[in-house]
Amino acid sequence: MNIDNTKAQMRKGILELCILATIHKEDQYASEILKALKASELLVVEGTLYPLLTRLKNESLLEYRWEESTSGPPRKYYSITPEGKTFLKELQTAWDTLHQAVQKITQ
Amino acid sequence: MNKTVNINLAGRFFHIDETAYRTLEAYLKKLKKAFSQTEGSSEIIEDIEARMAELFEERKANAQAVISQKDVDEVIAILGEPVDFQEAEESSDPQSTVKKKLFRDPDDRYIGGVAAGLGHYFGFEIFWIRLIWLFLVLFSGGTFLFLYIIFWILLPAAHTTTEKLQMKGEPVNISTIEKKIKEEFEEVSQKVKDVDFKKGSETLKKKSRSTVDGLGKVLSGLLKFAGLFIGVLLIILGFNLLAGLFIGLLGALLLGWTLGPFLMLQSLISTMIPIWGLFLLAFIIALVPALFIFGLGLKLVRPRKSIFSPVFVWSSVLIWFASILVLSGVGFNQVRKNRVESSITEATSLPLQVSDTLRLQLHSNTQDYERIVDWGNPFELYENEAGDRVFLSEDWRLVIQPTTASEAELSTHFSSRGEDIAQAKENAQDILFEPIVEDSRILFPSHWVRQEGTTFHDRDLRTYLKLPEGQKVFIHAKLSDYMSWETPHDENLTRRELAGHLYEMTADGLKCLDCPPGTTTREFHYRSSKNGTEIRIRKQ
Repeated sequence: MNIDNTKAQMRKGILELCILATIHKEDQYASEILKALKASELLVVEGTLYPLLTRLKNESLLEYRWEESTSGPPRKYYSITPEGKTFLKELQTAWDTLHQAVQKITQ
Repeated sequence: MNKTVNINLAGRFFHIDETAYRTLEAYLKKLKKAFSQTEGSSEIIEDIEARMAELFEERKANAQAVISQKDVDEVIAILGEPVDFQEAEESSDPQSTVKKKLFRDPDDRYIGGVAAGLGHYFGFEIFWIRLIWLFLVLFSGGTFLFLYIIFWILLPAAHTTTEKLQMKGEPVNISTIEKKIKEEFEEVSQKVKDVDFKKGSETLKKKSRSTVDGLGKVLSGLLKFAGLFIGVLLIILGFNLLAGLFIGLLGALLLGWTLGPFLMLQSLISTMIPIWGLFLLAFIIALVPALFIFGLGLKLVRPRKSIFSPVFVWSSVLIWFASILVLSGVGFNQVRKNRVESSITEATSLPLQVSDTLRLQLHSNTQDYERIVDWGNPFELYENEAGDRVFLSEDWRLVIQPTTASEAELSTHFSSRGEDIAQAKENAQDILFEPIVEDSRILFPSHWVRQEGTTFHDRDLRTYLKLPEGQKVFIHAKLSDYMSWETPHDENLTRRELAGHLYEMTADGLKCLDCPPGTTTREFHYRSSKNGTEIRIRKQ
C-alpha cells in the first residue's frame, strides 16, 4: 500500500470542503485561497485548485467578479452562492461524521 | 548569450529567455491538451496563466529582468504537472461515473480472486458467485475449472487504490474514503488477531520461495478450496437439520397442542414439567449442534466474518448442557417411578349351582363414549356426553381355571409399576374394570377405564375365573379376543377358538362338550402362572 497514494486520496475528498469554507469566510481570489490551502498543507501542487474552482463555479456553488488591483491586472474574486452555502453545510456535516468515526476507530 | 522573447501572459508583459519560453510553451500546450475534455477548459488555462504571471512577477527583481529557465522550472514545480492535478479533479467529481473494470481481487480470494472480481464487476454477493462457480466446477466435468484458470491468467489483479476503486466502480469522495479507512482498519485489526497464524504462513512462504516459488501459494489455495467445499457441505447439512427441526417443531406444536401426542406423552411421563417444555428441551438439544454445524460451514466459506458472538456461543452451550441435564433428570425420574411392580387382586366368589350353566358374555362399555383421539391402545381417549374424558383399553385377558373349592370365584388381577410397592399398588387402582355378575351370567366389559390425567404405567390386567369340577360354562363368541392361552383345555384350539363353545370343568381344565369330533386331541394345556412352568398333560 502506497502511503502517499492514500494521503492523496484523503486530501482529494476534503479539498472541495476546504475551498468552500475558505471562500465562505471572506471573498477571495485564487492566490489567497492557495495561500490558505498551502499553509495547511492541503495542496501539493497549485494546479489542482483551478479545475476545481471552475467546476464549482459551473455548478453555481461559487461566483466571481473582477476587481481592479493596485499591482497589476484585475483579479477574479470568488464568493460563495446560497447553493454553495447549503452544499458546504452538508459537506461539513459529512466531514464531522467522518472525523468522529475515524477518531473512534483509530483511538 | 541567449535570445529573449517578449510575451504577454494574462495581461502582463515579460521578457523571457528563449529556452525558458520553449519550456513554458510546451507546459501550456500540455495543459490545454489535458483539459481539452473538461468543461470550461479555456477558463482554467487563463486562470493558471494569471497565476503564473503572478508568480513570475514575484520572482522579477525589477521591471527589466528576464525570466530564466530556472524561474520557469520553479513555477511549473509549484503549479504541478497536469497529470498530478487532473486525476484529482476527475475522481473527485461525484457526477462522473467511474467505469467498472474487471480485475481479480487479491484482497478477497480463495485461489486467484476471480470470483471476487466477477462479484464486484456484476454487483453480486461474492459468496453466491463462489457457490455457483463451485457447482459449475463440480458438475461441468472440468470445463469451468479450465475457464477459471483462463480467467486467472488473463485478468489483472487490482493492486493500486485506483484499480481497486475501478474494480468496485466506486467514485472517490468523502464517503468512499470513510469506507476505505474503516475497511483498512478492520483488516489491520484482523491481522493482529491472526498474528500467530500469520507467522506460520510467513515461514511457510519463505520456505516455498526457497524451493519452488509459488508452490506454497497454490497449496494454500487448494487447502482453502477444500475448506470452501467442506464448508458448503456443512452449510447444506446444517440448513437441512435446522429446516427439519423447525418444521418438526412447528408440526409438533400444531398437532401436539390440539390433543393427541402431548396428552399421550403427558400420561406416560410422570414429571412436573409440561410436555411442551420437554419438547422444547429436546428441540434445543438438537438445535444447538445443528446451528454449530451451520455456523462452522459459514466460517469455512467466509473465514473473515465472525458468525456468532462469543456471548451467543457460550450461552448456547450452557443452555444445551442445562437442557440435557434436565431431560436426563426426567428420564431418571421416569425409571425410578417405574422401579417396582406390584399387583392387587380383587376377588368375588360366585354363588352358583353346579347344575346351572354359567354363561360368559361381553358387553361393550364404549357406547356411552365417543372416541376423540386414537393413538393406539392403550392411548385411545374417549369422551362421554358430560364431557368426562377417559382412556379406554381392550387390553385384558380372561383365564379359566379349575379350583378345588366348592364355589366359583372371579378375581381380577391388576398389576402396575411404581416408585415403591405402595405406589405401584396405588397406580394399579387407577384402573376401573368391573365385570357384572347376574344369576348365572357374567358380563365382562369390553374395555377397562383409566381417568384422564392419571399417569400410565405398564399395566397388566387379568381376570381369573376359577370353577369347581363339573361346572358347565358357555363362552360367548364375542369374548374370543379376550381369551387367554393360559386356560387349560382338552382341544387343540387356539386361544381365540376357545370362545363360542360349551365346556365342562374337569380337574385338568375345560372339556369341550360341543366341539365337532375329530378335532379333539385330549391334550390339556396348563400353565402355572405362579412358578412359570408349563405342564402338559396328555390324555389318551
